[in-house]
Amino acid sequence: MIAGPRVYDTDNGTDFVDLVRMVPSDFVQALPRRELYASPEADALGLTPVEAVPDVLIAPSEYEGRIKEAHELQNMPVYHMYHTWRPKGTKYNQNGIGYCWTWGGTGCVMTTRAMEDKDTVLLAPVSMGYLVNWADRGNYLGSFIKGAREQGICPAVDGNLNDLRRSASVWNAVGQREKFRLGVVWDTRSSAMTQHCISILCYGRSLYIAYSWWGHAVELVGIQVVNGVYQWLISNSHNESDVIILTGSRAIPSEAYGFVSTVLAA
Amino acid sequence: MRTLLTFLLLLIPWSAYGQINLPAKAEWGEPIVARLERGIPEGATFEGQGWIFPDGLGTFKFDENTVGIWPAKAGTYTVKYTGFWILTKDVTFKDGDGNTITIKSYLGHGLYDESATIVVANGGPSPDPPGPDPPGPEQKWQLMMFYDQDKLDDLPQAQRNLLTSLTFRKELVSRGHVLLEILESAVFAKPQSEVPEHYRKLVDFARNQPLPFVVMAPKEGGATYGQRLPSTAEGFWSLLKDPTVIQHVKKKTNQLREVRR
Repeated sequence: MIAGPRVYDTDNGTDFVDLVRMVPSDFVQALPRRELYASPEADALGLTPVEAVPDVLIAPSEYEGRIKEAHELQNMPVYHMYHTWRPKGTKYNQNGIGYCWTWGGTGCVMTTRAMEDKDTVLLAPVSMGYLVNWADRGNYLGSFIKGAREQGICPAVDGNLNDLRRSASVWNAVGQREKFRLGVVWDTRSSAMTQHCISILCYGRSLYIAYSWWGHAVELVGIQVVNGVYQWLISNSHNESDVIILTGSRAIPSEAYGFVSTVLAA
Repeated sequence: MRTLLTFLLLLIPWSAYGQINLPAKAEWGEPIVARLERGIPEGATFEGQGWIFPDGLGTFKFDENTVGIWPAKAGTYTVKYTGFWILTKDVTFKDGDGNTITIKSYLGHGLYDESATIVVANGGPSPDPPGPDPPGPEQKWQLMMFYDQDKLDDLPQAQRNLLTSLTFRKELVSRGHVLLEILESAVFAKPQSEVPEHYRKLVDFARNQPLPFVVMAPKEGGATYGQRLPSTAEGFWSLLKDPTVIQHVKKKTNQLREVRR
């Protein structure tokens, strides 16, 4: 089990306000999804409904047992993340720009590479700024997924994960996007969000998620049950040195995408 | 009778009687005949072991003096023949008192303590199987695993764990092995130029194999092995310890050869 990080109870007024205050922008950074689950539009983004792989789904009666087993075997993405691109102490920080949609998604791509046992290469979230014409504004998670699948993400310069240069010339010069492309993505249904998220995590993949109440996108890297309470482990991008933990009713994501694979490149 | 023979044996000076005719060399698969140069006379009494064949030789006795032999594999074989024969004849006569007396009259003997060696070469199974020597139990491997993403849900959890568990990967590393990558089957659709060069040999090995599949080669380089991903961690460790359980070894010429279990 993961211990130590701060636990935010989303049903607790104080904790809820602390979370909301983390996202100070006057615009929504993570725009709510436009595509319906299992629709042609979702398919055009390369989203596979997770219910199309039914044996992945875990029955509610098995949640606790399977979660416990996934921790014992370190199948949960959080362990792979700690082991590779974000060991404890690593600060991941979008530093005030409205780019949570790429800090969250890029983190998820790096964790997926770790799950595939690919070499650890730090990627630059800001290099996806071309999707919003390098402006400081929010974006759809589907847009990030499309860009990450079709174009890829640039490697970080000098290992600087938190590079803030929103510049086409900088990132065109760095190039190499095609080497770091997202592959298969599983889509989740909002009415079965808890089951779909738990199943994908126990399966061994992290999720790119967003919360409508927060207007924020992050990476869901694990879940654990402590004294009967479900704790959602989040890799956030507000300069934390570890994951944060959410509990309570609002901890369940509004939208979630399981990143299953990345593309092999020479 | 036996007592008489024994007595006579003690009186008679012995020397080797015959020799084994056996070719010095032969090709595996050709007929080989071993023959005693001087056979045992009819009526003689023989005692001793007779033909002695080493392990690995099949035999067929045409008669006491002639044997066909079939070596199981190429190698050097020494055939022996040991024993002795004595030939006597009953002789009857009357003594001075007119009594009829019958004695055994000695007619001859032979002692065998012979050996002959043949070297059987080429063809058929050889003493050491062709191809690379199976690595010893401490062999360290570099590995890649391949899976079909569309069929991952069909795999039992224990098998899926091999693809996702960090605990398992740490154990692999602690045992000295290297896990290169875990790849989807989509890699097989890529042009070879898009596959990193140092992966190509392993990726090519897994091509057209039933998934999930594990490919392994010695860390320091060498022959490539592969088989269906074991269904449990225990099966995986057994695979790494004893590569002779691998069902298919793919040579550079891309020919499949079954390896004994």
